Amino acid sequence: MPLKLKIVIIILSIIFLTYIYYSIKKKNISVKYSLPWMAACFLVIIIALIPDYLIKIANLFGIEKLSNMMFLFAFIILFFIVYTLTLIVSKQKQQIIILTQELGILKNKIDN
Amino acid sequence: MNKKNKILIIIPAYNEAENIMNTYEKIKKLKINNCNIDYVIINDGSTDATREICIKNKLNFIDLVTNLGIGGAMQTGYKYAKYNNYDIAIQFDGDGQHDQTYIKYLINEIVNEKYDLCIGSRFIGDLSQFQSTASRRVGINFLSWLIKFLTKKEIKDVTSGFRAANKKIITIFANDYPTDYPEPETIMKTIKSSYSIKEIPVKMHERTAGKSSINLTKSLYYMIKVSISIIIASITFNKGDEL
Repeated sequence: MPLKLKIVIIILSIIFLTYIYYSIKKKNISVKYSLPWMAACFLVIIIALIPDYLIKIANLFGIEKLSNMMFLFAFIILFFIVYTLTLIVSKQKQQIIILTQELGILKNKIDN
Repeated sequence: MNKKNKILIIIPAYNEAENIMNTYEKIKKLKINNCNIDYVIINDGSTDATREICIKNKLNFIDLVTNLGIGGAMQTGYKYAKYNNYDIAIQFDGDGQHDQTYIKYLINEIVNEKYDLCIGSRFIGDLSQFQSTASRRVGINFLSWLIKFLTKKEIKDVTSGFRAANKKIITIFANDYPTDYPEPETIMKTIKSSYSIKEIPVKMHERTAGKSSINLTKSLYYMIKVSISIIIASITFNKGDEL
């Protein structure tokens, strides 16, 4: 992997990690949901720092360039995170439905 | 056994300001032997005057603070029925499509014939002049076929929202009810859980005012989603399972 790409990846990861840190501090994101993003950042940094072995793994899967494998990794991680978010949204929708229903029934009870 | 059956008529209403008082008047006049009939209107976060009309006329209504869709609204009615210990819950649309004179036939199937769920059907008998549009009928026939293929049980009007449920079904629906386009899926789950379903002929009218909630562009999405729900339900629920 070219040195320039490594540096770009590491800098981007660090910027993003800093952003996550401030988000947590401002309580915009809970630690729980920041974990997969932080893990993704660290993983990317590690991959950028030790590419020599990774090229062998990449070749094993028939991927010729390490940067292509990076994209594949990133895609898999994002896929996982987005799917997890869909699960959370579905669960929260269910919770909102229950809240709305119980609130409605309670309002009806108070009025009568 | 002189105990009167407690009946709850659940009327879901989303932007039904023009229809809701008509529906209420129909229900108010309803008298059925050995039955105490109550009603509850579910105002599903309407953006028109539905809520104000309910307040002004002192109707018994549940005000949902946000729009949940027909499934969430209907489930609210079933929860209300469960909490207040009703024997039978009737789904009755607030848009003037359903005919209150058939409620007693639905109740009869539950009380005397001991069915768990009774569906008022447009497509059996020749009572109903209004049978929906041709394209919609194709969709309904397909879903009906799908349920028959998977369960060997034929229900013709799988999308009918005119239904009566006994106490067992009330509890089950209160705990778990599909979010949108719920009718075919609940029929599937009811059959798969070994509860009995009866379909009886009723008369249905065209909507007196307002628009139907399903338009043509949503139809394809509707068919795919409901088909998948039905197929998943058929795989997941075996005999004796809770819903």
